[in-house]
Amino acid sequence: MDLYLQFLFSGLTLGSIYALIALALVTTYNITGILNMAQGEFVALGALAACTLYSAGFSLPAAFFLAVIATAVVGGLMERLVINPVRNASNITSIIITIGVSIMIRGLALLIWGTNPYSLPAFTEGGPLKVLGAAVNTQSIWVFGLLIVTVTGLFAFMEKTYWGKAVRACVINRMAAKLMGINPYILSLMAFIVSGMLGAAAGVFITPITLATYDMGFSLGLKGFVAAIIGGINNVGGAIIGGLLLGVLEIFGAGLISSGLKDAVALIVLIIVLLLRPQGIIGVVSGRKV
Amino acid sequence: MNILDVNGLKVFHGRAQALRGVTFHAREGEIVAVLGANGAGKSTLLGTLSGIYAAKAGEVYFKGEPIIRQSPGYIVKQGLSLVPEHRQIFNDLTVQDNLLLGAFHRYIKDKGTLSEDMERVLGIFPALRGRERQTAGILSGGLQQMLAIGRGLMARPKLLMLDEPSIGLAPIVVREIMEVLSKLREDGTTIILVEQNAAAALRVADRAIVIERGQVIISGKPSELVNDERVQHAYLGRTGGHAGNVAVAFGY
Repeated sequence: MDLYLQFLFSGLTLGSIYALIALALVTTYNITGILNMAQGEFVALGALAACTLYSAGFSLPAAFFLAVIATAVVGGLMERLVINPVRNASNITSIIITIGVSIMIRGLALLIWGTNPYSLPAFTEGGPLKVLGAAVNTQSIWVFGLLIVTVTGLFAFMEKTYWGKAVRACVINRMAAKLMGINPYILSLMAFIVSGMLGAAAGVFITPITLATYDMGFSLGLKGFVAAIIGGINNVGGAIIGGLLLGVLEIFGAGLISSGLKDAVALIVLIIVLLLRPQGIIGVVSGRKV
Repeated sequence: MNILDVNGLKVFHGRAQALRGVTFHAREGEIVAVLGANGAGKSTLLGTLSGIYAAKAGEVYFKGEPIIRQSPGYIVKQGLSLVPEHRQIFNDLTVQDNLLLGAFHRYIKDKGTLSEDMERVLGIFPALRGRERQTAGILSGGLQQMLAIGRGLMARPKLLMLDEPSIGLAPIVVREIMEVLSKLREDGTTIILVEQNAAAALRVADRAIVIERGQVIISGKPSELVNDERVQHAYLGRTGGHAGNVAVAFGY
């Protein structure tokens, strides 16, 4: 029983990171119609930048904030330089461009940081907490907290503020939103900036547990993508559930069957979902083209 | 004075030419009906005037200023508002949010006056009153159309363009909407009304133009148009003529 509980907590930690990445993917997709395959690289960039800043003598919070800002700038630049100029291209073209960007970022990261893993200390000192007999890393609680804060913040913005409603209006009906004077291109820029921030934050929070490497973004981005598909690619709630579910399934798969199975789980789940419920577990079928 | 001047407007959808040099104008404070069969280019015309489609050639002057190839945001700020075909309201948002978003371009500047404007819209469409917190998507078609017009009015337009507001609505609702348009004209709003329902449109219009295959083929007073053979043809030619009996509907 304790073992299962232990798996569950580990799975939720991992799943929180997947959920954050999926959240950024879905938000960007809803606003721009583009799947940003470079989302995982934002995670790696944020994590690596924070490690470098921390070892250069910055405090942990300062390194965190600077890394988040730097990655937000990268997200914004990406949108201006390669997404916006081809805004009239088909979505598939844009998606392939994001894959190109992700390969480029990974290559640059390899040049800058090399292949060695980097680490950050846990945000709070002290040993694991005992919860119902299972050991919970304090850093895991930080990760879970980040997810909750992000989701709450996003929800409050979208549901309660005028600007959030303008974003939703653009998602619901892009043409009508344009007629109101809402500029989808500015929203697209915002989406990539926020994606950069979210990715970087997730990267910094997970680094004390998993370490940071130049290529960490590939697998995380892929898992986030699977999580988003599980939840129904345009559904924010689905992305969160999809991420958590995927994390938990991976840890149980690795723990109960074989640790070699960990990465296969995501793809097996993806295939099953696509075969049985292509619209996602929560998503509804939509013919809408953004 | 002309509030809107359109000269030789040409628009392509891909390779297909939707507008082949449209020229017309609207005077301040009048209702101009734009008639024509399906696919004649009416919606393209309105979409181009409001900045959704890019024109290949031609000129558009609104209040004497060129607005061609400007962004929809710029155009709505100048006072030209489009109520698009099929309402296009924000389904998942409340009635109130739909209305408030109609004032998006002046939200920062005019925050204080928005509730006043919303009150005015609810005065024009009393049926929407009490439904401010309802989700727009669950409203009936007629109420959705009123909401779409209300949302357009929240932008405080000098010129309001409506694309087939009567489509799919009961005759009594159509009459109500046409009455509202007459009332808006009295308040000084200029209106361009695109309609399939020619009889209803000609009843309220001061002038009308007929578009066929991307060109204005006739313009004139409603009384002149109802008996024009070419008007009948413009409809009969393509749609089998639900508006073919324009003259009959008028009792001519």
